[in-house]
Amino acid sequence: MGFEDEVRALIEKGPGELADPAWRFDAFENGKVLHGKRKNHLPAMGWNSWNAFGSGNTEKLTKAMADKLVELGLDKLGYVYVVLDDGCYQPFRKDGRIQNEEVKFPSGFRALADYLHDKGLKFGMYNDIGTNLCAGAAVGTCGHEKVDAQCYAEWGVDFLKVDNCYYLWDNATFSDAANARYVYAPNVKGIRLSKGAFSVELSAVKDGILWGERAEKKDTYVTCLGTFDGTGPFASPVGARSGELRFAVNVPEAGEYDLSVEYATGKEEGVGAWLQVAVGEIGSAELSFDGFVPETESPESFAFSAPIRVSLKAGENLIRIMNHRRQENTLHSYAAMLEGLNLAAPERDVILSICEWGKTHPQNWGYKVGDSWRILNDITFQVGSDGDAGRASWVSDYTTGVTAQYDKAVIMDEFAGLDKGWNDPDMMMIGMNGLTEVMNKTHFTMWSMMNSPLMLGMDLRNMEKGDALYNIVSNKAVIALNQDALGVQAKRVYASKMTDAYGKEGTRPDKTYIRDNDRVDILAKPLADGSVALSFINLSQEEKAEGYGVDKATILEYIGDKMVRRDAFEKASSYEVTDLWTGESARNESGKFEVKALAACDNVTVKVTPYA
Amino acid sequence: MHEAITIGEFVGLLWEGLTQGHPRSAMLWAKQGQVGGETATDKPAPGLDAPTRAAGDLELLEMARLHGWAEPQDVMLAGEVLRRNDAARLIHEFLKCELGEADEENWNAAKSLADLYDCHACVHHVAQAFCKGIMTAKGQAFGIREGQVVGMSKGQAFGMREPVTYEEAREVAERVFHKELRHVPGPPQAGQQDSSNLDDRELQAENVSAGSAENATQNAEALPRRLTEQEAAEFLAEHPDTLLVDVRTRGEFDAGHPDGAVNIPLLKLLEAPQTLLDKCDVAQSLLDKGDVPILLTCDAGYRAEIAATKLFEMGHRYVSYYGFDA
Repeated sequence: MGFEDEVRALIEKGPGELADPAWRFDAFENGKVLHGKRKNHLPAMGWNSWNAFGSGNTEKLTKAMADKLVELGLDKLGYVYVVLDDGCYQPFRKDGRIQNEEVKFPSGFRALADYLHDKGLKFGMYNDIGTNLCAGAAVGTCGHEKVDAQCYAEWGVDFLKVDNCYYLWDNATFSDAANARYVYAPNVKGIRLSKGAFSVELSAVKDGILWGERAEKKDTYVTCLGTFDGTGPFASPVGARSGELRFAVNVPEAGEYDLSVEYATGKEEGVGAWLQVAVGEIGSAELSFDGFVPETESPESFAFSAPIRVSLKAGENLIRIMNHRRQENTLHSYAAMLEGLNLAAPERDVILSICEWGKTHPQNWGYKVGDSWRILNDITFQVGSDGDAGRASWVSDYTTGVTAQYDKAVIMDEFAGLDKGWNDPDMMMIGMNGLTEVMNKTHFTMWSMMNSPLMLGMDLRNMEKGDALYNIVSNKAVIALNQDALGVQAKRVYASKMTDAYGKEGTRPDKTYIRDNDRVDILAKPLADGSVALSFINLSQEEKAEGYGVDKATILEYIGDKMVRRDAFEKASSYEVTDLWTGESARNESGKFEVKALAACDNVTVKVTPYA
Repeated sequence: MHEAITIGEFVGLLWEGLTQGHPRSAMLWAKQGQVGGETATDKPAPGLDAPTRAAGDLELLEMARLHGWAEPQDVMLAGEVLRRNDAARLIHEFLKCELGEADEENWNAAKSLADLYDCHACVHHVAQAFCKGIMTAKGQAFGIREGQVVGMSKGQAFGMREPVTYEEAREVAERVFHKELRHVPGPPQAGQQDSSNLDDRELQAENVSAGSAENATQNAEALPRRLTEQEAAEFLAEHPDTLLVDVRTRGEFDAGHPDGAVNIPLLKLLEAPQTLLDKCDVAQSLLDKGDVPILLTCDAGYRAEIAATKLFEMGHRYVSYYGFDA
């Protein structure tokens, strides 16, 4: 079967039926992993080729990087994963198997893995859940998960980064834009419920209740019933990221009722053709319908659906009209990769790095199948090449820049953990043009405090032991924050500006989505030895000298429930405060931890340990 | 021709342009050996292996790959239809590798493209091709823009996976080598990046789509190109049919002017642009079509810029200007 025929067959088949409720939106908050996903992986540390060399990475360059990791002793500090990002395969499969691109990777992937393993390093590779890779190579895992996992196992892969280009069940990168029909419910005007003599008609606008985010009541109908695209920096990551239309209906007796939905289909962001109907609240609902409804002429030409059987109890029932397939389909596809890896090499512990750029808000479901999830589009689009360090920025438009990624990840701490996985604000830009030494220092501190994967992205041949960049990335005390056994991401306990991205004043610094970077943040992180790490961060490009502090009570209020030996911390009359960048120690007896001034883009990060 | 060009043919087109004696290419061939790190050794010795026009397609592709501006994948997929995002990549890498042209530092204009961020690997190449005025916007798409909190709106798009026609490929290749032909976009239009006013944005998008594709293109670019003295000299050397117009006063002109220039004082030109024809040996039809290269000049460049903008707005496509004493 030719490639095009294969794709056609996959499209015919459609996204999985997802009969098992474990796949469903309603199960996202139950904390349960799928396919026996292994837990307790600390954030991955290593080097990834993308920021350093883009699609120009080669076997030769990769080996040179591996040599440098060892020469610089970075491997001993934890940087062990050497990951080949996009750009290493031949554009077509051979006998159904993916192949190494022969000009850039002439020795093949097994040989490269062996080279890395011999040095005590680990080997990472890249693919996607769609049919083609971003650059077009027809080697996406969709429909080939088992055989691809087999290859990865044979090659000795320890880490797999997977994006969603050309994904069939959503309008992802280069997918058919009309795929929006899979991930949005149609526009809904109303519902009709009947059984025998009983019949009631309800208007979406007048009687319907909107739940969640973005669902919208127009003049005569409700639209945007689905999960909105999370790739851009415009929306907060906290809270429900989808919208439902709900009706509270009162029926005289229990039984099977016929529900008909007055709907109009589309195939663009906001209005689709896939309907989900459920009865009951999240956690105890029954899905009565989950599929396409016949297309109408336009998103404003309405028709009644064929009757849907719903099981109701006497009295009040909650009927939910929705579409959670954007998240559910994506979860299912990543799960297929995990399943394939389990089958191919059950004894191998392979890290799965989810990279759909935050489109489907993976912080809600990623923990079920993966070890980390990208939260946004890229931190830079101007990646380097051999001889060019690429461009980075501290603050910029859209998702680029250290601060854009930080601003979102910093309030996502509740989604992360040892039993879950980690928020991934993208690979680090340390070593790229455009960041000063101070910016690099703070960039590294932020990523460490936020329990993000620590992936270097520069040409390591430009780093020597003892130089400025080396001193930053080799700071053991700061790395130890990221690799702390407690595995709790730092929480923001103070922000000098609390106006959120929607213009409203927030009350909680750990949940308010702030994009104005002219501010100072204070982060608090509980550590396994009973200490607390505090980071005072000046995000602005001007000195801030108003004095910033946090007291014991606030620290306990925000992270007390996650601390070990919380009582000792609370009752202590003095603390040892160690600056993790200067190494200086001081004694604090007030229980209030302050910094008078912070230079532009600078941070002060201390470890606070109670004296016995 | 509305048929799509292939990847291999497009690479050939770029080579063709290079070896037709673009003035800078000779100098750059000599620089080849110094470019890059280890990959420099993979490159052919300077000047020796510049492909002749007789070289077959695959040889040209392989050469492009060796020089670093084509991917191995391009060689394997040479017969495939060229799509706009791949064209942008090839152009961008070609400009760097063969012409030594630096990136535009400011790529803000590209941020008005609704689909710019659709593919993370394409953003930089597309932004450069667009901001250098080599490839223009094409069509509309949904995109979520800065400041829009709810929903997406339609705006001008790049058309990432749209096939490139032979006609477009030729135009684009011309612009690679002839900077004065590039349609450099101005700063984002008022309303285009205005986050607070979605209605205005949608209105503007509608206005754009209501006009022809030509209009859409012209909306994407705002100003004619300013050249340096050096560039102007090169341009005149390459395009002997250029109308060189000095827009200073008669008195200033008589006291001394660039060789080959005709004099149409600015005020006269603005009042009665048809005087252009009176002064020049150019067929009415050609002038009407807007295809004649016109180079305006004055001492500092300010008056020339005004004149150039006026002519450009009238539909003359290849207008540029420079100050000969800037």
